[in-house]
Amino acid sequence: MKINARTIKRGGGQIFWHLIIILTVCIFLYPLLYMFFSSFKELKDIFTAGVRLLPKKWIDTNYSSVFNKLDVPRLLFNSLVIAGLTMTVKMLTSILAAYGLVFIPNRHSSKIFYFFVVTMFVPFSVIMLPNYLTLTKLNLINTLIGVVLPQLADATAIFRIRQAMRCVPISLIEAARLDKVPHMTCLRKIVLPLVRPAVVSMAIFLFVNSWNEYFWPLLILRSNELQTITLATKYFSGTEGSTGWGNVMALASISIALPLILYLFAQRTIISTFMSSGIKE
Amino acid sequence: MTKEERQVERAAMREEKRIVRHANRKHRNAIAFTLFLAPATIAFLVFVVWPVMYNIYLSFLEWNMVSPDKEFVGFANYLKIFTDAPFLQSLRNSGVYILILLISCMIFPYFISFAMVHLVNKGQQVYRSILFFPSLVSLAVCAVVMSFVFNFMTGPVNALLKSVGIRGPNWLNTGGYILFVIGMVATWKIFGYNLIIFLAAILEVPVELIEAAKLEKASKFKIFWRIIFPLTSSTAFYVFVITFSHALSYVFTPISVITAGGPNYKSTNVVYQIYEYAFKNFQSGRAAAAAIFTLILVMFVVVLYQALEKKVHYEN
Repeated sequence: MKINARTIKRGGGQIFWHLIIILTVCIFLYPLLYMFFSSFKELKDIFTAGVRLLPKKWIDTNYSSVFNKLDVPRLLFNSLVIAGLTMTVKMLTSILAAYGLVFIPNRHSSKIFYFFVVTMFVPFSVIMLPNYLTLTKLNLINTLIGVVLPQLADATAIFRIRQAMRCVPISLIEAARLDKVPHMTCLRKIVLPLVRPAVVSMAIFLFVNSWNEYFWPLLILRSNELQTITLATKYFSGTEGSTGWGNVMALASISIALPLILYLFAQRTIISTFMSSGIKE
Repeated sequence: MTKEERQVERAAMREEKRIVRHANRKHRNAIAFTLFLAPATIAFLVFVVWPVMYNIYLSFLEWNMVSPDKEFVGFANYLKIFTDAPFLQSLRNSGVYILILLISCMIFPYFISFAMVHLVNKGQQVYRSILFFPSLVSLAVCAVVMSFVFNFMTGPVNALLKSVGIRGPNWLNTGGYILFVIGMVATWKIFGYNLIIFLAAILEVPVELIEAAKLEKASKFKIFWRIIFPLTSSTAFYVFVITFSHALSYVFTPISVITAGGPNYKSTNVVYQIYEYAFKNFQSGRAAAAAIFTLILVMFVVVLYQALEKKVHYEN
């Protein structure tokens, strides 16, 4: 009897906390669902729906009109080039740097790592103007490369990949080095296969971050044929109360489709990489 | 030569060879180290270190970013921004944004992650995958969607308020409310990431401690305050630092997408003000001075964090 009362009480508490968490989940999910379902609604339906999510009548004219007004394939292509290039180069430099910091003995290792970490806390506002001036001098304004270059100085990937590499037994590398195996081979044949989850999740994370970048491309890219899918939302911003609502929602849905797919594909790996608590040294 | 002498000589030669080989390896390692770290380091030197130094230099100049002549004006730019009403307004707003985000992205996920680990026994994986996803959505998209959700005529938030008999405010055009909306956009982006960091830390707290406390019927609040908090405080400090620095920079995109700082500077923040100085008014000196101010602010918090971290470290 006593046990029963206790289990019931405990179960009741559980349900209460589940409800709190589910409420939080709903609040965070609602804007996404609102965006997705509104993109299939008629304008009148968006205005009168209130809290209701599902459309009264499903229509696809919002999507066709976005494709008519904007060169969507071009926007997606530009985003793909920028995000792909940023991710690839950043991954290469980060993997090399992380390997160097972990496996090549050097008395400056910790100082250099500390330097990378400190740069993570330099506010974006400090480097914005000088970087713009640097790119002007290099004649890279209004080029895709101009968007990519400043994004390369980001220590997140170095930090996370170094974290994963520290779990690789250093004796493996030492043994290989005694057999005169070059560092590059050690990296490719021994270390990379062992840290693959971290590398994959960082690659996706960097790709999505660059895909989502708004301010820097806005500042650098001028001509119409260089715009990205994330930037395209600006064509509709400030249209509050005007007729473009369904279109904006359609465009927004298109722009998050790829990040969403990548996340669904690798969410377990991504989350475990961020959970392998990188903060404690 | 006697046998011993020969032996000694051979030993000396071996030793010499070993030293040479060792030096060679050391030398080769130094070269490899440089080659492996050079690409990343160059990017950081060009796009972080140099900009910071150049920014300091710019902050002492009067310059319109185009003309060839720059005039050295000492601390005049610093004096000017601290007597500029919009900048002072942006400082006040930044304070409010920081406060909002510390509550919504530090305290709130701290409790939610505690609940997810110790107060419920199922669903943790599903909850965390859903809650993490918004941090992969672009701030620009999020800002646009939120401006619809909070629209005062047709948005669902006011519809919900109306159904319980409250007349919702004009969120996007009223000082105060707009700070909340922009704070919520940033929250949507930061919350999941911070939640994951807290989850990782809380999962490392030994379960036996919690079970023992539960057996002794300690209240949930007590378990959190007496066990979880002391054992995860270094993570909490870390989250404090990143939330503080995100609260400065992550509100930039929503401000620029939703309000452009308006109405009447009611929603602007320091970073947006720096952008206005630089790219709308072409006052590079003021922009640089304000930027240096944010740098000092963030570095102050980072140094504070390290001091606290050390203190906690020694106490344990």
